[in-house]
Amino acid sequence: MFVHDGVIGADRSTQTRVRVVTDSPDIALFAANMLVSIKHSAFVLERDCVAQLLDIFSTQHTTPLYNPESFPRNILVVANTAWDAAEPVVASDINPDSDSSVKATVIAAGPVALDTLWKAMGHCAAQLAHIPGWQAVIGGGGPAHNAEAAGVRSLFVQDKHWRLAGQGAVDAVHLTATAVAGPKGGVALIVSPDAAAAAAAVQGSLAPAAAPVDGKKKGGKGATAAAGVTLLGAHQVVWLPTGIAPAFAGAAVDAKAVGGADALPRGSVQVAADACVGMEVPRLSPHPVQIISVGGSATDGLTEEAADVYRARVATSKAKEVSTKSMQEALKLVAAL
Amino acid sequence: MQVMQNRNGMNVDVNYSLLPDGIVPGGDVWRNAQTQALLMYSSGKVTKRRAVVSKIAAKSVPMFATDEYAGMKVMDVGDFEDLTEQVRWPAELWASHCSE
Repeated sequence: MFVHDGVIGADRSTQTRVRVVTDSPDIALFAANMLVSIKHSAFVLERDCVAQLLDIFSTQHTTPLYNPESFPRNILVVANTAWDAAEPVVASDINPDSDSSVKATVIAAGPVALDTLWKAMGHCAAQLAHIPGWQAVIGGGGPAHNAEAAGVRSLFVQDKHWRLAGQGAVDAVHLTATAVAGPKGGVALIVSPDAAAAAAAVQGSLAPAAAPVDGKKKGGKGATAAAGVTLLGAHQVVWLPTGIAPAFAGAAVDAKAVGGADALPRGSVQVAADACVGMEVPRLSPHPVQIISVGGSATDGLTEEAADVYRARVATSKAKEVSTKSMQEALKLVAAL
Repeated sequence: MQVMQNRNGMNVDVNYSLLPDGIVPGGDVWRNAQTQALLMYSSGKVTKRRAVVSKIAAKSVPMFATDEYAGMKVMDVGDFEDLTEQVRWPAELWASHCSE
């Protein structure tokens, strides 16, 4: 049995913790590539702590995620590839009344495609975002609790421990979109229900020379106008007041679109037609200057609350909303950013 | 009195952490295994660049949720719980598959 503990969301304040339990090392590789690693978030947190020199009183470890017994898994994924009692299926359930904290469960019964796995995980993370009781906020150490009980919380210096927040991340909007940066550094969100945008961005990042801007096929089927396009986050992003944070650390895309199995970097995994590639993505990117919808709308699938936050964020960031009919057109727009 | 000793694949803390989720390990459990270990355990083909081409015959499947969401079919909570019990049990299934 393989267990992978990771998180969805590169930004520490809004990330959702995920535990994947599976019988397959290949699914464990998928989880290792797709989920943001705990070590990465710990490193980022330590770096932030150094920047905030006020934290001189903290002597304890700042990330309580290493202990498997205390790992607060908000999403549990059970992927049993050997299950053959019926047709394969992926099902999810969100339980806001769980004993410890709000919890979601994803069951992958039988050999299921990778895209259904990340879609189910991303769906759960998006739904959990607005429910109280899952989000971790700074200030969870013993002295902080004592100060709160004594009514002198406001006098307490933050200790960088984390505790469950009393409310959801109302400012975080989970969008089914791929975040990319153009050659000049402009950030765009490509809103697309399929993984084509991520595939193009991964292709541009892995082998930019094989993807000419003019869109002529050069690297076989799937070669696109992705040269100079940098991937900032595939499939799903979290739009925060401070910028764009990727939900996943990797991308699961059509293997042919990224050059086939032989072109995949070390540790990647191909399951059927899909390849899962781990990518180096930034924790936080600037607000987008353009939101490009391909065959849909950015607010599709959002709750009314999340859609309101989205519209407000578009207005404050002055992002331009554009619709295109094809991914090629979308990539041409990105190439100008 | 016999005290359980941790070894590679048998960590008492990891095993206990699975119990609240109703999962009882029937064999070794690897938590956040290194890429090299996962490559070694994979039954798929390992390429020259050390990627894995899995043998899992995966296919696109319908997605269900216990509530109404766009793009998902609705599954009864009772049916979901039945499915959960089937998939995470019996523990022997996990053990036999992992030992292949």
